[in-house]
Amino acid sequence: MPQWTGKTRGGIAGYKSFVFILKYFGISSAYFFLRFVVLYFLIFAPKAFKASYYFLNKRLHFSPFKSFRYVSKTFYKLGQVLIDKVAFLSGLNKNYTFDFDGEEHLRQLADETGGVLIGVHAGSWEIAGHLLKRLNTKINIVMFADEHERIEGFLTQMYKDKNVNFILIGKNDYSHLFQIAEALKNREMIAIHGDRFLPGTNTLSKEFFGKNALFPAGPFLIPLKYNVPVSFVMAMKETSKHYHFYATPPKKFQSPKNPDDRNRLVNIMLEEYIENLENILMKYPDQWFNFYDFWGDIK
Amino acid sequence: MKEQDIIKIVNDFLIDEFELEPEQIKDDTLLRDELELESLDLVDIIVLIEREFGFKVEPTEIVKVNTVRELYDFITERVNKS
Repeated sequence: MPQWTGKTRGGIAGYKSFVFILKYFGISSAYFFLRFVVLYFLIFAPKAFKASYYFLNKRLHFSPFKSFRYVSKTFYKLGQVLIDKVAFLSGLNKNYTFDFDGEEHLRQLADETGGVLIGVHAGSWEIAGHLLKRLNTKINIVMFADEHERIEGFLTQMYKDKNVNFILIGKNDYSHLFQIAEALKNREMIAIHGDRFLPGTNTLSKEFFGKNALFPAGPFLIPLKYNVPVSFVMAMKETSKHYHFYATPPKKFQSPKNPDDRNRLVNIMLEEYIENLENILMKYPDQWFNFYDFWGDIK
Repeated sequence: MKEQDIIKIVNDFLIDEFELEPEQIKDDTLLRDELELESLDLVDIIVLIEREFGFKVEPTEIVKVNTVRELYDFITERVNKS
C-alpha cells in the first residue's frame, strides 16, 4: 500500500517568501498573493491534487464540482496556515483569536500525570503547539528527523522561548524511545502525530471514512506501554484569523504487559482516534493535509 | 557467566515482563513477529541487559537481533568479551 515517503514538499524558501510578504505587506496581502500560489499548485502538483480530490470525492462523497472547489479551498487553507505560522513568529499573533475546547483536560494532565497528545496533519499542529504554551509544562514534540531537518531553523525560532523539546525519529534508531520514556517518567507531555508512518514501521489497518487505511501503531502504543493518559488534539482554522483548539478528555487505558491484550487495546484506542478525526474532518473538510495516497486506492 | 545463567535471566524477564508462557520461548522464536514485541519493548530489553549484565547496548545493535537465540548469543558474546 502506498505511504508517506518521509518527504514534505516546500521548505525554507517557501517560508522566507511568506516572511518577506508579511513583513512588508501584511497578512491580508499574503493571503491575496497565496491565490496565485494555489493556482500554481493546482496545475503543477498533480499528485497532491489527486490525493485531495480522492479524499473529497471518494471518501466524503462530494460531487466532482464540489470536490474540485474544495481541493482549491484545501490548498488555500494550507497556505493560510503556513502564513499564520510565520505571522506568529513575527509577533503578529495578537491579530488572531482562539476558541478552546478541552483546555481543562490538558491542564489536568499537565498538573497531575503528564501524558500523550496525539494529533494529525489537519488544521495546524504548529499553532496547536503554540497554544499548548498556555499549559506551562514541558511539551516534547515527536517528529520525523527528515521533516524536522527541513524546517529546523523555523521551528527553533517558533519555540525559542517556550518549554518545548523536539524528539526526532530516525531510521533504525531507537534513541527517540528512550527520550519518550524519560519524558513520561518526568510527567511531561508527549505530542505526536497519529496519521503518518515511515516505511518498515508497524502499522494497523482500520476503516477510515468507509475504507481501510494504514495508521502507525507506535503513537497508540506509547500510552499503554507507559501507563499514562492519552488525549487527541488538533487546532482547526475557522476564519481568516480564528482558530479552534480541540482536546478530547484524557483517557487512561489499562496497561497490559501481554502483547495480545495490548494489541486489543491499541485497536480500541485507534478506533476512538479515527472516530474523533472523522467528526472533525466532516466539520472541516478542507483541512485534511495528507497529500498522498492515504488509502492506497488512487489508480 | 555461563550461558545457562544468561538464558535463565532472559527467559525469566520475558515471562515476567510480557506475561508470556514458558513454552512460547524457544530458540527460533521471532521476537517481533511471534512474541509480538514492539520497538518500545526492545527498550525494556536494553535496560535489562544493561542492568543485569553490565554493558551498554546501542539501540542500533538490538535492531539486528531477531530471534530468542540471537538475543542469548548477543548477550553471551558481549559478556564473555568483557
